[in-house]
Parts: sequence; C-alpha cells; structure tokens
Amino acid sequence: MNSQLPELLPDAASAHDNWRVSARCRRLLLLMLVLGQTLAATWLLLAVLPYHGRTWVEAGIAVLFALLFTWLSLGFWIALFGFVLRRCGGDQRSLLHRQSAAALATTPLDRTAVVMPIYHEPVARSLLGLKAIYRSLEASGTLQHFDFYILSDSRDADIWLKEQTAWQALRTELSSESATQPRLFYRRRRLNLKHKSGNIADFLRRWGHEYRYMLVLDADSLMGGETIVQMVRLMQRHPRVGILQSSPRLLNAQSLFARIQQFANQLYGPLFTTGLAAVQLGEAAFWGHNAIVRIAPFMQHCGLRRLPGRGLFKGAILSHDFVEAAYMGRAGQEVWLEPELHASYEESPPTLSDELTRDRRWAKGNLQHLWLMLFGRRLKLAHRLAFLNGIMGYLASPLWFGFLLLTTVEVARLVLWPINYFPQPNQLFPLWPEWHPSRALTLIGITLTLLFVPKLLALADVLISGQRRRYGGALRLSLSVLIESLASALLAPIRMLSHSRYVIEALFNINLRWAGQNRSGETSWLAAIVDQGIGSLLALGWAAFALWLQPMFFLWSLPVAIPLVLAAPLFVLFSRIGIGGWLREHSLLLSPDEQQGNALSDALNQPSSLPVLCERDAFVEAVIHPATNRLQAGLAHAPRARRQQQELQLLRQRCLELGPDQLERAHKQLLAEDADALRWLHQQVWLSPPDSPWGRCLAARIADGDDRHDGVQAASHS
Amino acid sequence: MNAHDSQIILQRILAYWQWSGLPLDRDSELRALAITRQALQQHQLPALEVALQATRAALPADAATPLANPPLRRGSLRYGAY
Repeated sequence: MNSQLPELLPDAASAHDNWRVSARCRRLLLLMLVLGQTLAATWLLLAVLPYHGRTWVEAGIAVLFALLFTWLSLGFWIALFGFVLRRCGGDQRSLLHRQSAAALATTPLDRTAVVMPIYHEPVARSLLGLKAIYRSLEASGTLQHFDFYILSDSRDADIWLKEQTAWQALRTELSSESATQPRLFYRRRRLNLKHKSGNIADFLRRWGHEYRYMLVLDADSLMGGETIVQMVRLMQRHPRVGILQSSPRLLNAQSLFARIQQFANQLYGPLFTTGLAAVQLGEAAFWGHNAIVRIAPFMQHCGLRRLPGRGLFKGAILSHDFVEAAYMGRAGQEVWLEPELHASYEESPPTLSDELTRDRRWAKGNLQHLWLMLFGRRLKLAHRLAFLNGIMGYLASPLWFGFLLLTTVEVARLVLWPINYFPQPNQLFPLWPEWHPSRALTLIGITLTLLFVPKLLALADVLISGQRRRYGGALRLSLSVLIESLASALLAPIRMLSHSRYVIEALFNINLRWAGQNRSGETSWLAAIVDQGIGSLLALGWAAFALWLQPMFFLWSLPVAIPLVLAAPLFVLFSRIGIGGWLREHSLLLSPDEQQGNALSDALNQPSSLPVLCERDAFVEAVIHPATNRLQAGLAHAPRARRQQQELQLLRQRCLELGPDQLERAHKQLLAEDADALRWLHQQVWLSPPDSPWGRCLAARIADGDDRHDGVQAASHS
Repeated sequence: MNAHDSQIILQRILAYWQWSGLPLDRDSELRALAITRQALQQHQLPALEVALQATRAALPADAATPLANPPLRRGSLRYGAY
C-alpha cells in the first residue's frame, strides 16, 4: 500500500476543532427556531380547536400536530440554511473549502477499490455504468490507483450466469483499447448472509487489506473520474475522515414519475443537502453508495452484529449505512456529506409502484434503528438524531393518518353528540366551544409556507445565480415548479397511506401480501387497481362520511381524499414514459444534465455487446457457446463429493433429454454451479440429434449468429 | 451421403469455430468441408462425434479463464457493540 500520506496540514488540524464549535452553534440555532415555530403553531392550533385541547381527542390532535409540525419545520429551516449558505458562496466549514484547489490537485492518491454490490439488478445497465466510471477514471489518467469489483449476491442462475458473461465481455471491451488487462474482478457469494452489508463485509475480509479506501457504488450509480479522484484526495488530506458521502443527483429519468423526482432532486436537492451538511458537518450520515470509506477503521469498528431483541428488532440489520456511520463516529472518525462534489449520480425508481416497493424495505430497515437509537452504546447524539430523522421519514405517515382520524372523530363528536360544557372532571365553570376561522386560516397559511417556501427559495437560487437556461428558461422553470408542486401534493396522501401500512407491518413483524413489483417500465391498469383499490374505497367512504357530517369538513378532506380516490389512474398516468417524453420535448421538468448533456450518461449509450448478450438465455448460452462454456465452467465449482456427483449425473442426463425449458430453477442452479456438469452438457449438446430439444435450440442459436460481434455492430449502427 | 447430415455437420463446425474466436475465411471453410467429408466417410463412430473431435482439435489451446479475483489477503471485521 502506498504510504505517501501527506502530513495533516496545520489548517486541517485547527479546522478539526472548529467544526465542532460551529456544529454546536448551528444545531442550537436550528433547535431554537424549530421548537419556537412549533410551539407557536401548536398554540395557534389549540386556539383553533373548540375546546382548546381540553378533551382527550383534542389533546391527541395537538400532540400529533406538534410532532408533524416539528418535522415540517426542520425541513423548512434546513432549506433556508442551505439557501443562505449557497448565496454566500458555499459553506466555508465544509471539507472542500478547507484547502485551495491547487493544493488538492497535487495531493497524491492511494489504492482504492471501486465496489459495486449487485443483487438481481439489470445486468447490462449496471455494468455499462461501471464501464462509464472506468473510462472516466481512465481519462483522468489515474486508473492505476483503482481496482474494480462487482460483488454479486444474485441467487438466480439465469441472472448470475448473465453477470459472469457480461463481466467477461466488459473486460474484453475495456482491454481492446488498452495495453494492459483491466483490473475488473467479479465475486459471487454462495451464501447471502446479512444482505448488502454482508456482501461488503465479505469483500473486506478477503481483499480489504489491499486498499486504503473503498468507493461504494449502487447498481445504478454513475460517478465522474475527476469527482472520485477529488474524493480520494480529500480523504488523503483529512485523515480523521472515515466516510465522505457525495450527494448523488438523479439522472436518465424517462417516465413522468421519474422526471418529477429528477426535477425535484436537481432543483431542490442542493438547498436541502447544503443545509443538512451545514448542520451535520463531521457527524453526517452515510447513504450506502456514491461514498468513499476509509477501510482500516471501517473494518475495525463497523462489523454489524445481529440485533438481539424481538420481532422487528431481531436479526440482521437491513438499513446498514446509518449504523455504519454511527459506529465510525463512535470510533472517533468523522463522517462528512459534501454537496459540492459534482458528477455523482443515481437513478430514480421508474414508477411510484417501484418506489413504494423500495420504501417497504426501507421502512422496516429504518424502524429497526429505533433499537440502536435507544440502546446503542456510546453513539453520538448527532447520529442518534440521524436515526430519528430516518425513522420519522416513515413514522410521519401513520402520525398524519392518526391526525386525520382524530380530526374526523372531533368533527363527528361536535356534530353528532350534544355539546359538552364540562369536558373535564371536577370542572367548576362551563366551557363554551369556540370557533375561530381566521386563526384556522392563519395556521393553514403557516403550514403551506413551510411546504412551499423551500421550493420558491430553490427557484430563487437558480434565478439569482443565472442558471435559468439550464432548466429551460425562467418561464418554463416556474411552470415546472408548479407541475412538480401539484404532483407532490397528489402523491403525498398516496405515500402516506402506503407508508402507514408498511410501518404497521414492520412494527408487528407481519408480511401482508402486496402486488408484485412492476419493472417493465409502466404500471398496468389492473396492477394499479389491485394495488390501490382498497385505499381508494377507504378514501371514498371517508369523503362521503365527511360530506354527510359537515360540508365544510368535506371540503377540508378533499386534498387528501381526491388523490387517494384517484390513486389507480394516478399510478398509471405517472408511470407513462410518453408523457415524460412529451414534457421533455417541451422543455418542462428539464434538468441541467439534459439541457447541457452529460458525458457519463452518454457513455451508457456507447456501442457495446452487453445489451444483446444480456437478452440471451444465460443457461443455454453457458451450455452451447464454446467460449461462454469455458468461462462459466472455469468460474464454477470444482468436482464435488461422489454422492453429489451421482445426483448431478442424473440431473444432467435429464437436462440433456428434456432440454433447457423443462428444467426447474433449482436444478438449473445446481448444474450451472458445477464445472463438470457444464462441460459434459456442452460436449453432449453439440452431438445431439437435430430433432432433439437441444438440437433445435442449437440450430436456432446458430441461425441467430454471434452476439459478440453483432451486438457491437448493431449498437454502432444505431 | 445424406445432404441434410452434411449440412448440419458443416454448420456446427463453422459455428463452433466462429464462437471460439477462429476467423472464418476460405481456408477454414475448406478445412470444415474436409472434416465433414472424412466424418461421413468413416463408419466406426457417429459422424457428428468424429467431426466435432476434429473441430476441437483444430482450435488453438484454450486460453486460461481470466482471474475472477485477485489473490486473497484475509482480514477480519470487528463487531461494534450494541
């Protein structure tokens, strides 16, 4: 390992202490602002409520309101902090501002592993992303410092065989223009212990000592070479930094839903991440990807035990990244979020359905953190609050649901029951219910301010900084903000209902049946109706009840009820790629990367054999194609014990007689993992009669031609 | 000589060579025809088996499978306390 570490610079040493003082001041200011605003708003709410919070229903409403308002207020002030800092030229306490660009550019690099854990991901897209990153690092002239690892946890033979073929094809493509063989490795775990964190841990146990740093990617990550180099140099210059997290921007959105997410991320994201980074400073969170990690302390302190509790709080930790950041903090390492590291990207889920499927997993993972937040030993307060932040991301939904429920009970009680002038026991004087519409309107105004001012600040930030053209001009940008605001208002109740369900499922450790995830690109009507039908009926019933109770309450319920009633059509509408394309053609919901072009994104569409290769039946290819068979057999198990061999011999004979289509998935897996079975099948299939299942398969494959050449040619022509 | 058999043998020889990275030119086509003829003229073994043995023999020695991983350098992870 290169030991040319620069000495800790004097300015960096003093900055080490300074940031803690700044962090304390900023957090105190934030706390005062949020609590002050929440107290004022809750007081206003109590003034609005007819019994001023003296009944248990009203007390419940006030508590839930205060919790939800705190959450909203926090987001508002973070965005405001971000706006102010961006207008002042960035946060001078951030890592990036601690040294001159020239000093950073001359900092030597050290050995870094670029790791991409994958689990049943779209193979061609993932590996083409890695190729784009590789090429970008190659262009920066620093490739010799980096090794690349694809860390697969895939269980389905059709997928991991594809991964292995694509890995080899990618190596061939990368070496075609280079004198040296690319240092691109592939590792597949046979046992998927502890999900993604276990996969990373497996890598670290095997090769962690070879490297000083590890850049962690997601399957859809894209990062520019210069940005990666900058991150390594920052780590080199600041030895106390254990994790440096970049702020990935969304890219390559096609559907209406993804384009809205992408626009919001690109326009509002910088404000929120700047504000968040300014408050967290060296005690930031780790998001699990597009981040660089100092390996030695990570290996020393970040092994994740299974949770020892019960139900949800027992077993492997699902959302590992926040926990790892907290452990690094406990070990005295700093964790930084650096929003000014550009050229860091990921992709949005294409549909709301995909996002909710992901959220279901994340909700469970984040709620697990409750155990660590309460019982984790010696964790820093900032990291406990980061856990709370993640938990509230999902817990806010059932709280909102509860708030709606209690307000319905309150209205029903007022309308259906006689007025109770003595709501409290031992009350001497009667309490007259009061109604102050003007205060209610003020409260609504404050809430809307918290929701929409951050969006307007982001808009102002772009307009002031003269970047309007990057979003299609001032008019189109403003129109896009309107579209996004309308869309987020429509999506919020749908997310609330789904998240509420996920939280309840997670807390009671139950798994209700949920419609399957749609990865085909667009959501079908049937899937949307099956998925959202019950929620729509509930909302319809609620709205009808509200109308029967009180016309005014009915109007109040509409912003929540309408999106829920229309959830199925909204699911379908938002998943449409055509609508997303139409908006792009008219320069609406445009992102700077689309307007100016993005080299990394363009690199995904460079000619490559991978897309065509990955369309093939991977098992058939592994058996038929001589080069692929050699590769797959070379990567498979050595011959097994005699008893297993006998079973495999029967299985391979059956496979030869019946053909690939009649094979069960588990059997395919067994054959694909055995080198002898693959070689034997290859020999026999080429000798098979033309009218046998494999003979027909072989003839069809020969008629198709050779992918490795055709694929590249087809891509070149396109 | 069965025209259908010869066609299948020839097709498989050429596909095997092409997919093994051997460039297909006039020489290789002539060689494939010769292998097909010889395979069909002998009667001791199935023609396809003889032809494919010769097909594989005509290929250069297999290139070694690329190293999927670098040599191991084992370490261990320490577990944080709850």
